[in-house]
Amino acid sequence: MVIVDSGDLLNEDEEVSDSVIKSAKLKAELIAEVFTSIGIDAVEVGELDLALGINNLKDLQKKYNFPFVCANLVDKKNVPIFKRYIIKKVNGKNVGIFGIIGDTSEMAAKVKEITKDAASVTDPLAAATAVMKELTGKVDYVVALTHQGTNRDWVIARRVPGIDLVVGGHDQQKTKDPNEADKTLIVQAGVKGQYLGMMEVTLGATKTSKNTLFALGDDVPNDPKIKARISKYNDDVASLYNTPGAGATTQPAAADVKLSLNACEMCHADQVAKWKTTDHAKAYDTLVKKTKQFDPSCLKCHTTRYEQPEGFSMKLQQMELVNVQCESCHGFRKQHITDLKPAAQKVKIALCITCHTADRCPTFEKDEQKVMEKIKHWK
Amino acid sequence: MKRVFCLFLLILGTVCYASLSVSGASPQAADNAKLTIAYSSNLLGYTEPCG
Repeated sequence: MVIVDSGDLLNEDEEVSDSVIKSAKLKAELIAEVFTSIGIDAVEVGELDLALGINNLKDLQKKYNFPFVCANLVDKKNVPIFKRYIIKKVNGKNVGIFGIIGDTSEMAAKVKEITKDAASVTDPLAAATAVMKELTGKVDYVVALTHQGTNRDWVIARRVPGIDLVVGGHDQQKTKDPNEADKTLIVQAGVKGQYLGMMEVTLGATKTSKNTLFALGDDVPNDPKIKARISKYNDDVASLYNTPGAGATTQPAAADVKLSLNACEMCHADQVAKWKTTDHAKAYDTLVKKTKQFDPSCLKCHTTRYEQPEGFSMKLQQMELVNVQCESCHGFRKQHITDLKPAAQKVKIALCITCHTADRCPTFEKDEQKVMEKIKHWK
Repeated sequence: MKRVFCLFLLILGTVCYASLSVSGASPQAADNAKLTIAYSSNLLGYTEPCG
């Protein structure tokens, strides 16, 4: 068995602010520890992983012998920062695995910005070609872990001979049936652990493959040890923010706090009354029930105007701004309260799907009318 | 005795030829080794549902 990941494994955000860096590091450590325990063989570095800082990734590499690979991410001296490839022996066969990160101007600029010029991206095709030259004659099967998007995966598969399988990433695709670029297969396993891909290969006179995407739904039981480790992470994150001056130990329960929307209620009583019956009004409670009320990745969608000016902040943990209140959808309305000029804006579904993403709510866009009925507080 | 030795040589030769035939062919063709690659992508730091 070979276990691999094609990047953006550890982190979700391009910018990791000072207020969340500690919890982001805890999460990265949790994931590195768990993936190490299941025997991960190679992980391509994604730009979102880099947002944690190269030194943090190197620390994980050192602490867990975490197998980052990337053939075209180099330091200021043009030296690869991580291993370019690894070779693993399986059933008497050598499997070569190398990593590639995309070099679009957007990605290259992002990498430079995120790493404060400590790292840059070199030509993926040249890097892959050089790796393949070294692997030729030494391996029986080659896996390229790429983080550049499917279009570029086609290019690398067609222009660099000898790659058997491209496991792609970055553009968050799900490929049930692998793309076939000549003799190279291209796959990707969706987003946020919804699927695990399994490519079963027979190395005979010709190589034959069978790909399966396993849906990791509620019917897949939790591993008790990993579940316990996640609970410890939740507790560790809570202890970061649940401290005097910030958090529940010094603040009353959400139900006892006058919410920010009380200001809206004076003129929009009917709408607020209706809102109180919706799931938006219970959004924070759902986190409390799962000890996730301090997890920044959850609070983004369960509080009002997360980390925006005068919005909910990780540092202040303002209970009057929990739940999905008026300003979550209608925008900051401080000026409207002062001048009372008409301000209501029609909320577009594009805003809703920033939280009701396809992985969380697969039919949200399709069922737009139905879901809007659930929160209807307009005439 | 000579006949026995010749027979031995014949058998040895046959075995050598047979093994040469095997090694001359693709080693992959000989064993049909199985390989499973488990892969994930774009986990984005996901651990469990928020609510």
